[in-house]
Amino acid sequence: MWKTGFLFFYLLCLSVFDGKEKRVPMILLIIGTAAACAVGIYGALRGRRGLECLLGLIPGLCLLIVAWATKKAGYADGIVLAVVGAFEGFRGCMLIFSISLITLSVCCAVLLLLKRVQRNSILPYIPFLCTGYLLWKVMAL
Amino acid sequence: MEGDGSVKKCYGGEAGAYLTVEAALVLPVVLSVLLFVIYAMFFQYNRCVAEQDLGVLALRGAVSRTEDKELLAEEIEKYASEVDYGKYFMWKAGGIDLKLEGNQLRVSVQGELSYPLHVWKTMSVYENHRVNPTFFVRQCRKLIGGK
Repeated sequence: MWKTGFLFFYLLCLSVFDGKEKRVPMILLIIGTAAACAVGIYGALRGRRGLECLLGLIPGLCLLIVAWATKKAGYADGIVLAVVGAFEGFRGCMLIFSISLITLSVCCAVLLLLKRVQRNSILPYIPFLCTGYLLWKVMAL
Repeated sequence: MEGDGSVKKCYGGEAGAYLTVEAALVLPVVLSVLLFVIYAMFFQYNRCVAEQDLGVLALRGAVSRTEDKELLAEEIEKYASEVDYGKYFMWKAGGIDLKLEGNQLRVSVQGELSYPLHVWKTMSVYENHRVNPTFFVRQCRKLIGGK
């Protein structure tokens, strides 16, 4: 429960910064990474949870590679997704990622139809990740 | 955070957190296609392994010398209980179903792979005709005039 609360609060904080400036402070990313490492180490010491944490990093690392290769995404998105993956495991992370991407793409399609954005316009991603996390938790209940 | 609204001054560094509209539209499509291909490969792999296991069971049943049907069913069920489910991946296998009608042995199994928001099901069937080599050889010998 504390993990859910922490992660949601963390994503909410990042969403505020991201929504305002489409950038997030590095200190928050460092805090998230440290928390993810702590969760991973604690899980590894207690049993098989460590492997799940490692697998959960895969979607975030893939997004980092996409960001590095195409410059169409920010590095912080990948890092935050990896943090979410460390907390929720591979399956949870993939579902949250999918939900957030679907929400974002629907939003983009609507904005494109309304001619409010163009192909190369940038949109904040972390608020959608936070929405995805919230929706996933609601669906899991 | 004061004055020009820059976060940089307060925290010493920032990282971009955005997706372009293009990426937001392309990424879900790429992700869906990748997931579909990966799951389809898992599904195909599990189906092939299930068919292989059934093939082995059907062959064992077909070459068994046991004449009594109940004993034969028990024998095949014993083999079926020895099937190693550890080699299946993300697979939920049902029980192995055996049917013996005359000399026709039919072995089948159902399995399913959980795809996000959907379940892929399959049913593998293997049929073999039971043979008795000794009886067959004797019949052939009789045909060619032997004892």
